[in-house]
Amino acid sequence: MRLEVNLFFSLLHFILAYGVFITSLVSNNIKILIFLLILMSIIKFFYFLFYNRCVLTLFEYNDYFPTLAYCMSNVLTENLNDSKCEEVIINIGILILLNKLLFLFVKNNFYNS
Amino acid sequence: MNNYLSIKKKITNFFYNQFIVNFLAIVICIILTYKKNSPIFSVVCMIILYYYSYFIHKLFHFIPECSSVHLYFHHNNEKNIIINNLNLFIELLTNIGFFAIFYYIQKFFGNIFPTIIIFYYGFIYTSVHIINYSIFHSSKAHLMHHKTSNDYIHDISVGDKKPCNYGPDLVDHIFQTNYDDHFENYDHIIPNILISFLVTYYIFKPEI
Repeated sequence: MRLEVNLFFSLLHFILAYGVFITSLVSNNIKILIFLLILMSIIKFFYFLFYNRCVLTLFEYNDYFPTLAYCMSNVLTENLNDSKCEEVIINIGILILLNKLLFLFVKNNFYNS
Repeated sequence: MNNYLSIKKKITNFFYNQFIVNFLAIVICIILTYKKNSPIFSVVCMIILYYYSYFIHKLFHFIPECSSVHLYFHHNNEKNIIINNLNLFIELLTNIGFFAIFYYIQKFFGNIFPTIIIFYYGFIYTSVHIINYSIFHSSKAHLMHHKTSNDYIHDISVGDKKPCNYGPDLVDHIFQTNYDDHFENYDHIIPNILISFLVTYYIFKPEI
C-alpha cells in the first residue's frame, strides 16, 4: 500500500480518536455523549470481531512511521504490543464516557430533586 | 491462602472481561429512565433483574423434565435442523415468559419496577441467549451449561459436576455454579445492548 494512503488513514484515525476524546472531555450535552458512547461501543465490538485488532490501524502500517495507536499508548506506557495499545485507548475512551454520563445523571437527579 | 489468591485473580479477570460491558448496560439503562427514576433506583432494578434471570433459569432446571418447557425443548440432543429451530423458537417464547412472569408478579405488588427496564433487560437476556449463545455458540460457558445439564438429566456420569453456568456469568461466580474460574468475555454482548437500547427507545419513547 502506498505511503500516502497509510498517512491518510493515520490522519483519519487521529481526527476520530482526538475528536471523541476531546468532545467527551469538554461537552456536557447528554445527546452528544450518548452518540459518542454508541460510537465507542461499536468500535469496541469491531475490535472484538476482528480478532482483537482495530481495523483502521491495519491500514496505517508502513516502514517509516509508527501507527497512531502506538504513539498514543506510548504517552501512557511503553513496551505494549499493537493490539494492547488499541485496547487501552478504546477502553479509556469508553470509561471516560460512561463515567461522565453517570456523573451527569446523578448530578441532574440530585439537582432536580 | 490459595482461596484468597484465587479471589484476587477472579476479580482482575472480571474487570478485564466484563466490567465495561456491564457498566455500559447499566449506564444505558439509566439513560432510558433518568427523567422519571433516580439513577440509583435504576441500578438496583438492574441488579435485581440480573439475579432474577439466574434464579428463574435455575428454577426451570429443578422442575421435572416432563413439565419444564426449558428442559424439554432446549436441553435435548436433537439433530434434526427443523425440529431444532422449532425448539429454539419455543425457547425464545420461554425466555420472554421469564420476564412476563416477573412483570406480572411485580405488577401484583404495585408496579415496583419500571416496565421499560424489564423490557430493556429482557431483550438483552433473550437475544443473547437465542442469538449469541444458541445460534452462534459464542460462549464456552453456555456450551458447558448444556453439556453438564444434559448429562445430569440423562443420568450420564460426569463425576462431581452438577449443572453449571446458568448465567449471567457474574452471578454464577457469586453462587459458585460456574464450571471454571474464568470469566466469560462479554464483548459479544455489546450489539445486543445497543439494539436493545434502540428498540426500547422506539417502543417506549422515553424523554432523553
